[in-house]
Amino acid sequence: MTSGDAQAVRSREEIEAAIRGFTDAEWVRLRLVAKKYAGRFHMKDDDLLQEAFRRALEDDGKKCPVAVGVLPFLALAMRSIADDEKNLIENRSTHVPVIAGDAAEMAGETVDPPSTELNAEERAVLTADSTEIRQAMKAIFKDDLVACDLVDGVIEGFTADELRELTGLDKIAYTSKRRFMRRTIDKHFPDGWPR
Amino acid sequence: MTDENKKARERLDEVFVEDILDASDKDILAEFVERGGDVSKNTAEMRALFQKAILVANKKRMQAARSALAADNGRREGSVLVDITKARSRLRGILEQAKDDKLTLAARKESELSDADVLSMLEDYDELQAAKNGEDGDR
Repeated sequence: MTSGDAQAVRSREEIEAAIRGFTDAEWVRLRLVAKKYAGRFHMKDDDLLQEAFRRALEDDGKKCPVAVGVLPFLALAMRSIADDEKNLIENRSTHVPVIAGDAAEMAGETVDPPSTELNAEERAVLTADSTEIRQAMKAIFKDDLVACDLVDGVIEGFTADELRELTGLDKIAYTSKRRFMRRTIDKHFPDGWPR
Repeated sequence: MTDENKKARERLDEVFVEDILDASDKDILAEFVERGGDVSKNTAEMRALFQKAILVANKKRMQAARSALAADNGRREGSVLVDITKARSRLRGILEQAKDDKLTLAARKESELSDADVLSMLEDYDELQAAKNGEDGDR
């Protein structure tokens, strides 16, 4: 492959044709990936999919290199959208309307001090904050040392090769363990990670 | 949520998405059904979502094309046919009258300038003159 081939991108028509030709299994994969990323910041998977399609189809949207399959490309697009959305939420400043006490008094208004009590949602967020994901995973896989090692390795950012080396699993056994872990976690958290 | 926790979740997600993409057709379909999914219904829903995205993209494409066409028509309506021989002759006259060294040098090279350069220089000259006249008028 020449460097020109490596940089070549699929046209909108090619992307459209590829998606139209998706099999049932590919549509299921896309749905499951959407659920996974949508769970990252609790958006609807349909909204995430819609946005990924839009970015893939629009001329000023994401470019799909010829070397990348259309399904993995859509998965990457969803990850990117989820990250953008997450950053947006995190960076959104909280505007609290402030009425200066003196000004309010002068206006004859009574100003209630902001409540320090947490609502149910805030309490849930704090609970999740204090629960290390590593501990949560280890509680789920408490009797499975290999799974616990994989959790540690993944969280530390190991590559698949490094994870196999860490656990001594061959390719097939690694794939099988990874699937078991994913399905177990999906059963524990069917709507995505707890807040 | 701590950054460490977020990063951990994201890394786990990446590995599990990889697993979803690598799974065989048979396994992924069986898993979906096992989780209570309806494969045919999912396909129909996904196709409908995709179709909707196509419509939106097509609409935007058409709007962009219309805008480009309108802008192009506007440019054509606003454009004036220019006699390039006359323009060159005018530029030569302006340059010959000028005492400025730089202009004299440019004047010597006038015959080497492209039509576009000639028109651009005349345009700059006219703008400069208009600005000067404006300044004089203000005084």
